[in-house]
Amino acid sequence: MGEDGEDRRGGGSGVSDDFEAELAADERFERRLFWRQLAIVVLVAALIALLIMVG
Amino acid sequence: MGALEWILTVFVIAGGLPLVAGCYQFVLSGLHRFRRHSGGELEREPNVAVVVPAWNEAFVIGRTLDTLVALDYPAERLRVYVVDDASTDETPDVVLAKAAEYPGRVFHLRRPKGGEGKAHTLNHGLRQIRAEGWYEAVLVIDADVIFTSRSLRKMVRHLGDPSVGAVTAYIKEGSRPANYVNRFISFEYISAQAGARRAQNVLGAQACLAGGAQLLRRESLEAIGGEIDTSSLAEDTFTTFNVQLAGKRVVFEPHAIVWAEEPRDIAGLWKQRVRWGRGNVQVTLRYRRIWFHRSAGRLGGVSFALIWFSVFLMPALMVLSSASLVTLFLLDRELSIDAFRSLWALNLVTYAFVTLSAFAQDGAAARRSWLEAVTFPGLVSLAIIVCTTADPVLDALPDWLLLFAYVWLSASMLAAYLVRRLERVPVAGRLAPLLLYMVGYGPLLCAITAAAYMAELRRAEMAWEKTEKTGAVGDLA
Repeated sequence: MGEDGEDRRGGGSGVSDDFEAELAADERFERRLFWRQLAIVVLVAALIALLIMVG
Repeated sequence: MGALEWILTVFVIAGGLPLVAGCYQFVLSGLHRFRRHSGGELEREPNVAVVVPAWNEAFVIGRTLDTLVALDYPAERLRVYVVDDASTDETPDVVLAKAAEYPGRVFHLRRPKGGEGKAHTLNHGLRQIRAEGWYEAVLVIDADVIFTSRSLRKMVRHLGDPSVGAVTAYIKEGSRPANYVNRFISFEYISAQAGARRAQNVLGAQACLAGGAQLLRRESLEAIGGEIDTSSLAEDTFTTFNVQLAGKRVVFEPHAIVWAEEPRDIAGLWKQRVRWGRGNVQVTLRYRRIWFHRSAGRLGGVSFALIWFSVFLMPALMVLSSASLVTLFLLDRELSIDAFRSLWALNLVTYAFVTLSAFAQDGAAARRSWLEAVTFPGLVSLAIIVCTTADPVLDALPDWLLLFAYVWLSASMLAAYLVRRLERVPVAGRLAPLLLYMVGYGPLLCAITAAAYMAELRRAEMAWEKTEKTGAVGDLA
């Protein structure tokens, strides 16, 4: 496995069974990303408010 | 405030347009979970013909072929065609050995006369594949890329949606050991690929299928004439636009990860990106009728145009902004300081937003490149940000320093160009990394875009200058 948890070696010559589980993990990442981006938007909005107050 | 002062202030703020577009993309990318474009189920995996253009790729091609045949994909549904562009090194020997090792799965196609560029090489392979008629989708890749095991399956599943014509993957910088240029590129790709392409999925219009990972449905390839455009330096962008103008969607699969070896020095990066930049100029002119025209579908939307032109016009906007600040300074010093402060406050907000977002999009790559993430705009620009936010500092600056800060927005591009020139100077060239951290990678990209404009204006020869590959990604496996 590589540093990113990605398999850099390539799989077997056929098709593996746990593909659906990996897709589900990808979907969970996308859901988490939504909340993370939302948190960042709130944080940056606070920074803008601070800049306006200071300015 | 007079009319001239108003106009100059607007020009100064126009320099912030690319910053607004950058933030907008990351806001959109957060909505990606709602627009994943994976509707519909495939009855089975399609027959995929992988086309690998190769010119003197002996260092990397063997490893690439090994990983392709080992992909997590039905073996009987995957064939790899290496199109050897009359290589003069051991590429034919390596490919023929792999063809013997993987009979019926790896094929060697050789062009008798090479040197016409990647698009011609690809078309040689596409003609062969179309003549055979076996393929249901074609995957165009570069000779050095390493597909992670399940990346192809993740890309292919989008073809279950009949409205999808092409799919691209997340190309990541994979050179190990990575030097400072590699790490800057790695961080850049989080914004330019993971962030921007997620945003473009949300918009429903993709700017570019990554050249190293372009999966096209058979019907889409046929709809664009069965061949790749050979008239430009951006054949992948032309393919992307043509597929979408033919009525199909192009989507990005962020979890299909493909590792690529990118340039290790500024000169190599410059050469590669001038080619990309010139290609973008050619695309902008060729498709001039689609911009802001709803008849072109999502490609003609305002949002897509904002993203496209904010990058395309960035060098011109930087110069306009700097020149307007200096003129404003001569007319009204206080007003120039206010306009400058507003612009750099926007810079600070964008810097914070984009950097934090990049860590959210791809934490592993961002952590590996944390120093380059922090210094992406350059240490000089960061010092200016500090000065503009610390209120009394800016007002107390002597005029010459204030003017330097005003001019820096565009002068940083010139400084980046000089760093590139210095890199090749013996001994002094060792300072290039330190100077690039000071000047910034962002200004370097702006300078390259400006150089691409100039090359197009003087109609410089469209030579396909290949990036040297050493197999640094393959060594990771």
